[in-house]
Amino acid sequence: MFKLIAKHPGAVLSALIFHGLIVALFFFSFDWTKKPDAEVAGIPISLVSTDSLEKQANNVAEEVSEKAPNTEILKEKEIKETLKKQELADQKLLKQKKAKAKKLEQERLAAEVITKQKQALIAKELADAKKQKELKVKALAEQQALEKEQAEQLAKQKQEEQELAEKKANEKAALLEAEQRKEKLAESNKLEKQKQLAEAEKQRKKESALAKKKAEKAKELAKEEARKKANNEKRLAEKKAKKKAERIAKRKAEKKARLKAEKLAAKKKAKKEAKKKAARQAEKEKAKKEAEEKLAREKREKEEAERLAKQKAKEKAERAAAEKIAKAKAAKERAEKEAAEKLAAKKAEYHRKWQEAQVKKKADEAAAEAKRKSDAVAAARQKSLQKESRGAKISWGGRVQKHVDRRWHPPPGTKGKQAKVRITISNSGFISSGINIKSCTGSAEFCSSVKEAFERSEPLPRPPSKYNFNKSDRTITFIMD
Amino acid sequence: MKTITIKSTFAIVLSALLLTACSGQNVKESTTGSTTGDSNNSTVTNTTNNGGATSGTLGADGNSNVTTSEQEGNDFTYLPGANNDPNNTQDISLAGLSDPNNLLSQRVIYFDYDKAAIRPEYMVLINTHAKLLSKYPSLKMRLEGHADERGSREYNVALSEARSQSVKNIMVAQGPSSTQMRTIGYGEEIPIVRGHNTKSWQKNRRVEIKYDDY
Amino acid sequence: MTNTFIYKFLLSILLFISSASAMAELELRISKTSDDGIPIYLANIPGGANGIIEADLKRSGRFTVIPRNKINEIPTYGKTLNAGAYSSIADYIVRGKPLSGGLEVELTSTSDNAKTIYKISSNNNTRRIAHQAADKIYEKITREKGAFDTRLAYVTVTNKTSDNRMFRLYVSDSDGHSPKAILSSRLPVMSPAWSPDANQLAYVSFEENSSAIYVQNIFTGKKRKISARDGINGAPAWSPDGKRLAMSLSVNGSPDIYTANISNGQITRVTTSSAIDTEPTWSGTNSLVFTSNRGGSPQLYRIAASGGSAQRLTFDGKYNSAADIANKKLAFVRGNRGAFNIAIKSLNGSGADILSNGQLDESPTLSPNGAMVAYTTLKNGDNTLAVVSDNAEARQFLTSPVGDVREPAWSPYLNQ
Repeated sequence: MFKLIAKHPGAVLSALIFHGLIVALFFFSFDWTKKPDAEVAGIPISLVSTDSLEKQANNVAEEVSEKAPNTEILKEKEIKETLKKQELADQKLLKQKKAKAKKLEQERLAAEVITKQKQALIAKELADAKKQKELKVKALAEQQALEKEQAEQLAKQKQEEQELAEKKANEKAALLEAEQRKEKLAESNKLEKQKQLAEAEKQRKKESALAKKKAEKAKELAKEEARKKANNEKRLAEKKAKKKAERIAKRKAEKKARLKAEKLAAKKKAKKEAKKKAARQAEKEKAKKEAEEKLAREKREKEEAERLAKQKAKEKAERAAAEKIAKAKAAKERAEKEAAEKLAAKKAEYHRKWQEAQVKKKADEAAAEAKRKSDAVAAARQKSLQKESRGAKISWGGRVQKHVDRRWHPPPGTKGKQAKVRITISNSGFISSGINIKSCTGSAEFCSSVKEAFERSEPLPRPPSKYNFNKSDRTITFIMD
Repeated sequence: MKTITIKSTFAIVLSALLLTACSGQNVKESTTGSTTGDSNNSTVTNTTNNGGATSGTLGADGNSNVTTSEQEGNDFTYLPGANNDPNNTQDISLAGLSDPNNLLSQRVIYFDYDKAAIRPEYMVLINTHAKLLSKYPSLKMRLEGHADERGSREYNVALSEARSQSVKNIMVAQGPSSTQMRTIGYGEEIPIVRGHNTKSWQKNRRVEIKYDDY
Repeated sequence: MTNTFIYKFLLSILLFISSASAMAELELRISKTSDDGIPIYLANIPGGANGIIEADLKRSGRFTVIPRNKINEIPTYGKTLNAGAYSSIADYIVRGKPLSGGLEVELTSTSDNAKTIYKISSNNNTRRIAHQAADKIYEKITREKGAFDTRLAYVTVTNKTSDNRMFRLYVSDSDGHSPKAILSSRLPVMSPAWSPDANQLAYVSFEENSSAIYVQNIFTGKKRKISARDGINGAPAWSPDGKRLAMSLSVNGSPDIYTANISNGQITRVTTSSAIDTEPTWSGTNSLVFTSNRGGSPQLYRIAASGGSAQRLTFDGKYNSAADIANKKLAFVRGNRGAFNIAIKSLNGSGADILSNGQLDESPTLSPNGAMVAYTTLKNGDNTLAVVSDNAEARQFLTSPVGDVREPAWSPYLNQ
């Protein structure tokens, strides 16, 4: 049999659907509309129970009225008996309803307790999560510090290499006399820079450990300085180049250098993304070094220029060629440096922003948490208020219901017809939404009688002014049958 | 085989559903049925006999009412007596009108509820009066129709008028001129007896034959 | 594919349930079966007008008059009234005082302390002053015109089964007070019908040993014969424009519906069936509702006043007759299982509500606002008049002269 079933999954599915439909039928065949009523009955006013009482009493009266004429006395007895029975039945029903209502109320209370506990748990979890986050952030900070250190070391090595390269270029270009001086100066610079770097490192470590903000400010300042210096350097270099004869060559060289630098920068960017922090550090140091170097260079170059001027007469084409090469090289190097600096500056900026965002995020989270806590407290307070105002809402609703009920004159012969109407009542008791008939199963006259009932009911009982009923509080759906 | 098993489960589930859904109704029906049955024991109307048919006749119940009243109503005879024999060679003359033993002294015809049809037992009586009219062409007669108090008044006027009209129509077939007879429908306005029961109602559902000068 | 469908189906059910339970808005039920009217308190009015107003308001079935002892002392009319203090007892408070033969009445809403003052001018019939006040109050609160200051016409019979029987045609206030006989006859008088101006009555009289339709001015007593044809002259009904009388005549054989021009007496045939057609009543100026047994038992039909085919209106019950129409409501007699009761239905609706609980109730007549129905019912073996509200909440028996009282006809609104 199972094999057969397996062979025909379509049939199984249809069977399942059919069962589902039957279950759904059961599901809907229960009187769902009574459920909310039971909820209402949970609160002192039992609107529904009286309704049903009246209905039943009415039904009995109708049945009796259809009986034959000659049994009037008998009928009365029967009516009384049936009424008594029904009264008893009704009382039972009422009791059951009350019991149900109590149960519901208890369940509701239990549910409330559970929800409170849940909320507490959630709050704890949130706190835990927050702590973990904080820990993570600390760890990150530490890692960052470590990375910075590493990056700084790397940067130093690089700078050393760069300096060496520069020096070589300078040495080639310069005279022998100048070479010695340069070397000395370079060496002294190197020593100084190293010392400064060491100090800066120490400071940075302290700073990053103490306050990131300070570090950032310092970095920013350093960057700005670096930029200014770089700019100055550029200008100086350009001026020098202009002074010299081969402007065109220089420009070409510079363009080439820039293009190369850009290509390099792109490559470097890809490589160095992971080493952002390091680059940032390196940039700062470079900036400082370069500033110093440039000062030295300026001096050197001035001397160089003097000498070149003197030597021009003696050394002509060869020297010019040599110079060209040297300058081109130098320009190239400078361009490269500039590009590197720019990149570093960008990276530094990016990092600063990220850090700022991080701090902001933290602050926001903290604020949100605080808000959540205060909200929870407010909600708790609100809940007790809501309970009270719900009671007021229901008693007001009852008054509105009675008010409309008394003014509703449905046309005769509309037993069993039903209309669903939704209205919003203003604080002054008028229908502010329009009379929204959501459904109506009766004739046009029946439906218009429903509308008229609301029209002649204005002004309706005003919502209690003590409670700030919002629009949904002041919106009531009526089932009229 | 598989489909069969599935089908049978459906059938079971469905029948269970239907049974549970219908059980409440069954109870209701049976209770209302019993109450109507009780009340009908003492009712005069023909609701049970006719069921839901709107055009049903009231004959059966009406006749049974007659027999009941006949047995009970000793004080009031409204059916032709034993002398109502078609072969009875009585004197159909004006003198007969004042002879209490003459059939002509019987001048009331009774009807069934909401009916204008003449019961067969009154044919002899009506024909006798018609023969008198034929015999005396100057003789004039009023046929006053009445109804019992049930139903609306103007409808009862029309009903009582229809009763006197149906008496007139039978009489005209016997030869007298239609101008000799005049019909009036009084509706329920002039009852012969008070009382709001079947007996009184039967007595009030009538056509009275009235000769203008006798 | 089908799986997703099932999931969607289940999900929609879940959503449906959860959305229903999560609804914060109030949902309330109003059922027609409720029996509490609008609570109103009537302070004592010197002269006793409050008693008449109270009976009127009660009769409408739309009010619950709060017993006098529920409020110990209410400031007399003229003194400041803090109506809000009584909001838990009544929705409205009525105070008043006589005013130069008339009446001054103040209606105060306890919910918003809004006051309305009505001044009713004097009238020879002092009870009408109170009825007019009741109309004002009724209209203010229910927003439909009051019909207390109206009249009833009805027929009484004394010595019903003896040869001394006497028929009288009466006109009284709508509550049965101040009756005045306008016609008396040893032969049946029946079927009074009001002219739209409420000055004239049409009726059927057998005073000449056969039925005839007359029109009589209720103030001058002047009367005019409209139809005295062979056979039945019955069931007059005045057209809303006052120019025609619908009636049932059997001059051409079986009773049929005709309309007669009142000014020249010319008749126009409306129905042509061989069955009984009678009891016409106007449904607007161009259509009539009448009783016919053309289907085997008396039922209500509707037909154009110019004739044509008739459309059956009633299908429930073996006996439906004697329709009266006012304010889009149709009252009629329904016979079912041996009992005859007054039923009311919406003119264009399908079902009907039974308003009376007697054994042999008949002759329903609607108040011009359609809020009440007067009818004839048996009480202690005699017919008497009762008034029931259209919601069957209130029922009053009217005071009436001795004898058998029947066939009430409720007047239109009065002009004077």
